[in-house]
Amino acid sequence: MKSKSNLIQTRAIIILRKALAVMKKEFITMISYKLNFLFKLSSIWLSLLVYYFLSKLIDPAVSTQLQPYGGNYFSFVLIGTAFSSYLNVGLDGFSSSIRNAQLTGTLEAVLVTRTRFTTILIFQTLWNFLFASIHVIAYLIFGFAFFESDLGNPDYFAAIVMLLLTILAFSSLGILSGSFILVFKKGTPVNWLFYHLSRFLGGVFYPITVLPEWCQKLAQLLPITHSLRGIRLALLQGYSLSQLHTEVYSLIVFIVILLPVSIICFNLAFRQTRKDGTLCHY
Amino acid sequence: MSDFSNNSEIGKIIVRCENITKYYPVPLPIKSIFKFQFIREKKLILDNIGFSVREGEIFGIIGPNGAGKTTTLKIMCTLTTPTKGKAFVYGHDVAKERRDVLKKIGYCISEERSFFWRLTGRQNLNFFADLLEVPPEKAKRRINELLERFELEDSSDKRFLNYSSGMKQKMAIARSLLADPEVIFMDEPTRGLDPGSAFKLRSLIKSFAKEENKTIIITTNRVSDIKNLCQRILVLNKGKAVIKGTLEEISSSVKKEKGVSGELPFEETFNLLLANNKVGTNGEIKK
Repeated sequence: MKSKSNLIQTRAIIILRKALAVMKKEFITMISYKLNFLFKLSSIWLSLLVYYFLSKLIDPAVSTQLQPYGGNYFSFVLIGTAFSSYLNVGLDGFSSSIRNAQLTGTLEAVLVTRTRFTTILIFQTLWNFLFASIHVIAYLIFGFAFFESDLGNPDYFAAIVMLLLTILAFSSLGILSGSFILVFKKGTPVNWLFYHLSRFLGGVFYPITVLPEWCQKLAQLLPITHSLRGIRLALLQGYSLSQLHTEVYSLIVFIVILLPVSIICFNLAFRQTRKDGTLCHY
Repeated sequence: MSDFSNNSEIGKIIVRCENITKYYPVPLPIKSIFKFQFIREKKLILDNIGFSVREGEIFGIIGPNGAGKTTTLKIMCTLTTPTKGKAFVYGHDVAKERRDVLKKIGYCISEERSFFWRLTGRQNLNFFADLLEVPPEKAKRRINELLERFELEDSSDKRFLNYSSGMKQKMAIARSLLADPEVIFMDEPTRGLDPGSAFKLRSLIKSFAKEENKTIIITTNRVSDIKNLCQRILVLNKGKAVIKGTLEEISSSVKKEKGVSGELPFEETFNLLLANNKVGTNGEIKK
């Protein structure tokens, strides 16, 4: 029994070491492009300015659609924009990691190691989520420190649970998208469909209640709708997890359906490209 | 010709390739979509290739560009699967037991872009050591040892993008040795190197193969690699096995076939073999 627990512990250490290796590699690469890092930070600042002046146009007294979220457009759009970056990472993380490795030529070298391909992709995506979190934190700090934004009485625990469910749901879509990149190398319908539909219907820039009714129904089929509503209500109105049960259950349904489907698709795509000999083509 | 000459010193068979055939699908041209033709044509890359390699041996696969050398290696390294036939490393089927095979092998990719260029040489080796599950203390020791052996210590903390072609090739070999694997597959390790650097690299390969008792399977289109490194070879041309055996066996077979008396330089033997292009499924030259 003891040896079994030792084995599990050793395995856990090895996995942790691999995760740290991938993140260290990504971090060193990122900071080696210093200018790019600075530009990314400055782009946050500039987009906040745009949203801030846009929010001046919208009078809280007349915007009844914003009342469920506290009535402040700037806070609404700040959270929408900040957290939608998780959608981008979730959708794009897997596929861009594969595509980068194909383009840079490191894919073969990584595939002949003793680490599963999916494990490396998961760690790479984890790094992307970590970086997206820095992005989100920067958005929120800038937004609340320098602009007229207020969190009210946030329920951080509920927001974190919503965020974890969001990451899992978006990652499922990302794995599906990665399957397309493995086989077709460039262009994935999953990204195209979910990225544009999510920005249009998901409530990033406006509450979905401003949309026609049939659009609102369609919006329910997108994980981002539930995720943004949940996170906004938790952060801006202090909703607890029990008050967010509809959003929580909706995201769980997405995960339960999408995650196994995407893993099956990815394994099939990996097997097919290995058979075709096109695994490392781009 | 038999797979092995009567040499009692050589060890047990650890790499076996049995009648491997590989077809690659040809991408569909755009016009076929409009004609509703969705069945892809297949191109024959390897045709019924078979060979075995014994423990401690340096086995060469030589042939011109497009002969199927890299595809053979990729099959052995589990990067692609054979359409027909089977291949084994230490008894593990390369198509079905990928993880077990990967525990036994090192793959030296001569593609310089297989490294992370923004990282230093040492950071690259550390990264791959972690993915290869080498314990940290052992990895540190091994990396220092390899950097010293390949005369890379002084440049180990420079970014990989600043390395010369020779240094990049040395790094590729060092990476394949990180986890101390039993078998190392090397894809054209001297590609792109000037004769002097190629000579030095061959000496290095020879010395570590002997000192660490490694089994090496090397692909090349340089006759000098074969002459200086390999105990036995397989000659491939257009996906077919032209001949296999020791250099002496091949040379005498070609001399007999062509009616050549006296010395026949191996370069000439190789040219005659490829010009002949009559292929037997087991590697014999057809009469």
